Amino acid sequence: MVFSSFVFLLVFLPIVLLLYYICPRRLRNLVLLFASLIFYAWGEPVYVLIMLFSTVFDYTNGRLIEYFRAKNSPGRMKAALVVDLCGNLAILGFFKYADFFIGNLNSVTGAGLSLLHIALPIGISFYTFQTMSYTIDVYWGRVPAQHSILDFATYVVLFPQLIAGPIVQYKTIADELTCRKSSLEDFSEGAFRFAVGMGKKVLLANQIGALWNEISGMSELTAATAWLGAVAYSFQIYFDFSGYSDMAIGLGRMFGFHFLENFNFPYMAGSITEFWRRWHISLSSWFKEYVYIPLGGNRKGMPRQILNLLIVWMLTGLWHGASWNFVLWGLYYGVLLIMEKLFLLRWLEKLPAWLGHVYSMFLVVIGWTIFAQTDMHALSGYLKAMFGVGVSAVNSDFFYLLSCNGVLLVILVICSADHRAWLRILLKSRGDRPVSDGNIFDEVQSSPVLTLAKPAFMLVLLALSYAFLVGDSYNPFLYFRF
Amino acid sequence: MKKIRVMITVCFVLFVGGISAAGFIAKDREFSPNENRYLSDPPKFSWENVLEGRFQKGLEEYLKDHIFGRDQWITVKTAVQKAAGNTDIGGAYVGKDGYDFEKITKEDVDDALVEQNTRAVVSFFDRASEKIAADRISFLLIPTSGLVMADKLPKNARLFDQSAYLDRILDAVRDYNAVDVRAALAAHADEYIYYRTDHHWTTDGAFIAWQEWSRSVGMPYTDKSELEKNVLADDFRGSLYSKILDAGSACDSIWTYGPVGEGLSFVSGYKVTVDGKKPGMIYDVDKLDEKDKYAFFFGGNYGQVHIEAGGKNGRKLLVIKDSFANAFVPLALEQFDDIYMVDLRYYKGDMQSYLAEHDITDILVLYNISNFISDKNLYKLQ
Repeated sequence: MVFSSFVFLLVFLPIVLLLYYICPRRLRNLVLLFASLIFYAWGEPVYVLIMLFSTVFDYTNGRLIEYFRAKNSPGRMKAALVVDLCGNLAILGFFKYADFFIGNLNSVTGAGLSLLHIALPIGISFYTFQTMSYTIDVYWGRVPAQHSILDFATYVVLFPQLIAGPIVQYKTIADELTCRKSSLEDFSEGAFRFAVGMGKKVLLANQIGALWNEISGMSELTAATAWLGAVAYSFQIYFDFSGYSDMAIGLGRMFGFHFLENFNFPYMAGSITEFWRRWHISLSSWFKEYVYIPLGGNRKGMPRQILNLLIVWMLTGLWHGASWNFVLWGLYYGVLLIMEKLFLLRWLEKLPAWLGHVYSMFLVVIGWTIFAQTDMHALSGYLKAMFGVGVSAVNSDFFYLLSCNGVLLVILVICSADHRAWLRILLKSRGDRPVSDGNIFDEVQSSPVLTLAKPAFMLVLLALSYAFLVGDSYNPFLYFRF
Repeated sequence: MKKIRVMITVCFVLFVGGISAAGFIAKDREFSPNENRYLSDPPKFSWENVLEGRFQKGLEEYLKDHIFGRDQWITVKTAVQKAAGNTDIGGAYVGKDGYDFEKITKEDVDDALVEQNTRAVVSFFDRASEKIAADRISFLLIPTSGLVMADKLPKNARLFDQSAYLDRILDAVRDYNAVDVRAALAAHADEYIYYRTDHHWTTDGAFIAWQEWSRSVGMPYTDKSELEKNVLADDFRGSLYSKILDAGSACDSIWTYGPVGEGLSFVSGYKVTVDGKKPGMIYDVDKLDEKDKYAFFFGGNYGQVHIEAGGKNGRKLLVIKDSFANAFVPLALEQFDDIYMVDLRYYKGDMQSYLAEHDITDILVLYNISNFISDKNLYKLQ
């Protein structure tokens, strides 16, 4: 099930909210657990079994690690961890990468092995990473093992972040799993956040996604149209992904969970380093915490650090899908980040800030072009078109597509910008108090008219989202490769 | 602060819960006249359907089709898209002066299919010409409004190169009476020759093509000035409207031409038989009360229609056609003894034996170009 569907909005969400809040507190995890299982089984009626297996497997290993720790047996502790990691990676590897591996083996050796044609279980990359964070943290002693299988299962299958992230680490919500309060503040902020995410997904991402869909299907490109398409896709993936994260964070809060932020206006970045501090934060921090630092991070000299970065970024790329373009995309960022570490950042600091933004966005848009095309041949054709190789600069198609999407593009640019920064400047110029990191509406609560703005804005977003969900047929799920 | 939180919570619960509840309480509609399609039924529950995902997909479609206020939601969506300057809505173009257009891009055209369809027509003509003179075998390929009224399209709108296809196809049929009606229609481009909200041509558009064709086959024809125009409806919103669903869209009129003072009664003199047995009619006034008012002409499309026409010259015309012919054929009723219309989408028989069986003396293949390039039934001609 996805959030931007009517099965979710008209049936699932009202029923689950109702059940959750009429049930006594001790039954609430049970409600969430069953709701989440239905949520997942709705799209993956068979693969829900893998998730259940994963739950039992990780729960058992967590308990084993705890048991061996109490027995003072670090060797067995480690063994339990290794078994757990191997199990998780084997599941991920089999379902996600087996055919990719066989296909490559065939093309290298000519072995001609037949592909397995396994459908990828939705969200498998998200929940295996979540459960691995649990066992690793138990092993490192950062969190105690969860004794209640019910609470642990609730964590693994929790539907808000299940299929499109963010990757919620166990330690983030460990306390809230056993004991959490529901408050009016959490519910209302969560509902508002959900509406914002829905608006981003349905009103912005789907709309500009239709432009990318049209351009990527065109038989004749010009350089201008190719760039328009790449920019369209860049906006689509940002608003789609951050929209899903907003909806997840919002839903989580409606049930009393506080997830960490996953996006922080990434297109405001002045460097690639900064971009990755603002984009899909839960994934980059996962890789940093559980791969980069264990590999030695930056503590073993520059050559080793560069190698570590390349490993991490190749894996990051591969995490996004079993295809070479994702590996290329990961390494592209790996190389850029290494170059920034070595010298580029120092150069950028000396340049005016706007040049840094232009530089970052240029590279990010190229990055998304690589990301969008799983067919290497199509990718090279598209990149050539962007740089004018063998195509003309512009034709009437470009002007038509621009005229249809011009207003939308302006809205997308405005929504990509950090409105808090603007508000700060505005309020400062009026001599008002400085602004915290809160929401734009929380800054204007002193005014009674503007007080109404927040619920009104939420209703407008919800209503328009419903209107576009009813009337528009283009509503893709972009993360089926993750 | 608390007040805002209460308001947000109440608004959210009322909105999400209210629309959900209203959809379940309200009675389901079977048909959406606005969109001119049947709405989906609730999916059947079975474990097999669930495991294969059919139930889930069906339920989503069902909920979407029967959501409370479906038409209003769509109206809002279209209004927002139009306000944002988008002219490509629901797979159709919103043009100027209330005109909407079909969106057919280069990528939509399957060249192999065009080639196959053209060859089918030529080979059908080649075999028919063993018995029928080549100048009595005609081919009319009607351009779309997007070509004829290009100045009303949104600026730079993406369309396939229709003229190039017309040139190529008409050239392939050049041994027969291939009538190019582009210039004649274009000369009247500022008149009401295509509907604004439907992809068909109006009676006036068909009239122009009919005159051109009559001239090319040497048939006498009446001038419009000698006929009476009867406007029968002015609230027609057609197929393009159903795609765009713009509440503020213009409406179209439907009209006929006939002998002065006779209204529609003159057509009662022609006996019409549908699919070999059922009685049919040239003008089905009941359809004027339905959504698809273009079906007024012949009551829609049938596999075959036989008209005992008023020609008295021993000539029998076979029209192999799409729906564009439905507005055209009523104009030709006095030119032939019998007119047979065959729609290959619904007729399965062999066309060469059809010619012999009905002593056909004249053939007209009449298609709109957008149907011709996408139709998957023309192979039946071979």
